[in-house]
Amino acid sequence: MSIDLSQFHEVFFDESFEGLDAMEAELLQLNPETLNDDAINTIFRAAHSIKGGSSTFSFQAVADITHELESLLDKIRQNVITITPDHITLFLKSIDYIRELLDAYKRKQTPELTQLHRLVNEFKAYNNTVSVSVIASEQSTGQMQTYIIDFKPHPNLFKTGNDPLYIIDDLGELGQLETKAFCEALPEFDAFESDECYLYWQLTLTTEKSKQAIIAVFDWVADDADVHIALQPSNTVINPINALAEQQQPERRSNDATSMRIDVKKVNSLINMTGELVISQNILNQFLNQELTPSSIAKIQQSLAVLAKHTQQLQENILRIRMLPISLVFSRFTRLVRDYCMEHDKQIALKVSGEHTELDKSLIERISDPIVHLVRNSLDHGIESIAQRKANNKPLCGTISLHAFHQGDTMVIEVSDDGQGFDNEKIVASAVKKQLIAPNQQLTEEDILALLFLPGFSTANHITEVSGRGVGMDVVKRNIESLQGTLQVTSAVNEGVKFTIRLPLTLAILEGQLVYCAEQTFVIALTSIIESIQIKQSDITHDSHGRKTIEFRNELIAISYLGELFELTDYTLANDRLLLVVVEADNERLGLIVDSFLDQQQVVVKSVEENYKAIDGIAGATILSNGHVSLIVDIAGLIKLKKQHAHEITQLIAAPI
Amino acid sequence: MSDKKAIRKPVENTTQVDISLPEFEFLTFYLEEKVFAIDILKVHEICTVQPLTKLPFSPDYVVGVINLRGAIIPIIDLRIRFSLSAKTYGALTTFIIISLEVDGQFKLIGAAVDKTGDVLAIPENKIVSEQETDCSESSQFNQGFVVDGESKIAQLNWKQILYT
Repeated sequence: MSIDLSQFHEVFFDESFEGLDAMEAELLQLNPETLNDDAINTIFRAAHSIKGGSSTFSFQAVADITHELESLLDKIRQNVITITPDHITLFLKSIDYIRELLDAYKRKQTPELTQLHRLVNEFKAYNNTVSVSVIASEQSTGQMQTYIIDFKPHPNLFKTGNDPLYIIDDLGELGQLETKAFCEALPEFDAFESDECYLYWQLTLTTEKSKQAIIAVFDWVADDADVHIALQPSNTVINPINALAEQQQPERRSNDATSMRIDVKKVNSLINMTGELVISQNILNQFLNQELTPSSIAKIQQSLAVLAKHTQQLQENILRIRMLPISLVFSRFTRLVRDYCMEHDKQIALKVSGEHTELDKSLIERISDPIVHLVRNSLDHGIESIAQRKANNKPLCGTISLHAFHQGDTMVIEVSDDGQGFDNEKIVASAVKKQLIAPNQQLTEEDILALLFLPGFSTANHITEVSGRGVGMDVVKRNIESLQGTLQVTSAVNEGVKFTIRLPLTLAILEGQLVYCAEQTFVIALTSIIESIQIKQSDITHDSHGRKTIEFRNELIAISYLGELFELTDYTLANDRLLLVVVEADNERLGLIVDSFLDQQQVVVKSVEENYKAIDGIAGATILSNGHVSLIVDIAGLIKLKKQHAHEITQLIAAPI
Repeated sequence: MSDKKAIRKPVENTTQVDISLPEFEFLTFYLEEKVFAIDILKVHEICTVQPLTKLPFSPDYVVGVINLRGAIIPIIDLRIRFSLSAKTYGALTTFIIISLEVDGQFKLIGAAVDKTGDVLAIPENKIVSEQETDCSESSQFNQGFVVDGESKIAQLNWKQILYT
């Protein structure tokens, strides 16, 4: 009986991607001069398990390439071949390709195979220096050609110990193979002989190999089958490389992980905690079964306190399950920096510290792109060319540092370089040119750096491959803010730039201010609150459009009643004194009038969308200690909403108060 | 279990013609005096009135969300949906939590009804899925009916109720 292997696919993919990451990390650290066996062994082991797994699950292309990779590694391990940078580059290229293949298999698509043969051939070229004789006919013609092969086995093929499947598999290794089976010869069931071959095939093979190589495949069955090999006329030869390259371009590596690997220690601690919970509950039950006396009540209170502590610990531990080390993000930069240095006239070292600091899985996935952008910015604009560094008396090798650490309940990630720093004058000039500021505006150092994050601002004079792809710093900042985080920058001319990202450890829990409005409680994230103030009705002014505004720190900001903005109640300003929460998102501020302030507390974020649908201005919901649902306000969404509804609100406000 | 048997017995008596037909169970509930039926497999659970939190920018019949053991569930007031006279929730008012497949995902949605009735076992041939029904202002939301003895009990088209 066959087992459904697909149930193991998820695990295989997870393990393989991990293995590839490990291989990549080791390869990047590999120094051909001081080669150590451990590193080679680690790479070898990872390659070996990927090979084993992919053969089991019939991911043939992966098995093929890892097989070659493994052979070369084995020769390096046995000191038959001395490793060179070229080898490392080839290994890295193959790892990229294996990732692509696995991705395709994961998405249940047919992988692109043209690169496979190029890489396999490259490996073979290295392997062959000591390798067993290679069939001469296998030499490539150097040009892609398509052959139509008619393969009609005689009925007695199986009896000679052959199997058409092996032949077809072998052909598949030569190039890209399309098979078409014909089953007209299949007899009625009564006449069916299980050991006779009734099927025949038309195979379309696109390969660089010569016709001899194809004939060689059929050597074993030459007497037992009719084989006809014809070259497809060249005007219809498809160029698979281009065709596939085009297809492949728009697709990005899917990162939507549906499963995750958890440290056994973490699971064990959860099991422990659950055990403790059950014990606490049993103790409570015991007391409750007896008659209540003052002394037993005291004990019940005690047990309840223990129970509360256990529950809290359990909650903390469960949240910790989702925590993963930031090294998952940091590790990819070694490669980025290496590739960049190879293509540009720069020498850059990457320094990573605090890579074991843990962060929520969902944040890890989403913080990656902003950090990539910052590192690319440093690579491209921060670190100077070797000549320039020499002229400035700086070490020829520039340094980019990634540093992560916990600070209270926040995760801090610093991306810094020892490059040229930002040129303040250039920034101001550029901002004036783009009409972001007035020509003679007085600006502090801080103000100038803040200009970098304005939409439409970019100091790059020319677009390069690495950065300057039209995505500005404003997008980086907005992405980080959408994760409830902040981004700061400091810069010193000739000394470098330091970006500091601060993130909450998890998005599942939010530090919130509870406010009461329209007869229900709302939660506003503390990170988006600038200030909560009491204002008088007489402080309110109206702008030229009739909208309510107030002067806040020398700036006019729009204000509205939260309940009215949400269309939950009509609003009349009853009191003279009003409570105003000033909130900010995307560099825009808004004043929200609420009825009263309640507690500040941590709330667990739940989805409203899951059972209903997404609501504008609502980021989610939470359950309060009394069991009621409270909605979490999405400030960025609310500000957008306020703009959209500006017209309606204008009308409402135009009415006399 | 004994309850179910008690209910099932009379049903079986009336359908003695062909006892071998598979039966399906339906939960009945009331709005005003009118009775409706819902396939019991769609019912996730039945709960009493819970405190509601109003949702912004939602139609009037989506009266709010409740906390059902940590899940946030929207509640639809069927009286308001069917333009019946408003009535404050009483001791018999029930939230029927329905599991509904929307675009391949199951959503839990609560329906506020005046009260719930019995569970009926209806043989296959007494379930009529035609659009055509006898009456009522809510006919646009009907999706066939089930025949229980002499009476026809309307089934509702929940997707229509939610998404139109």
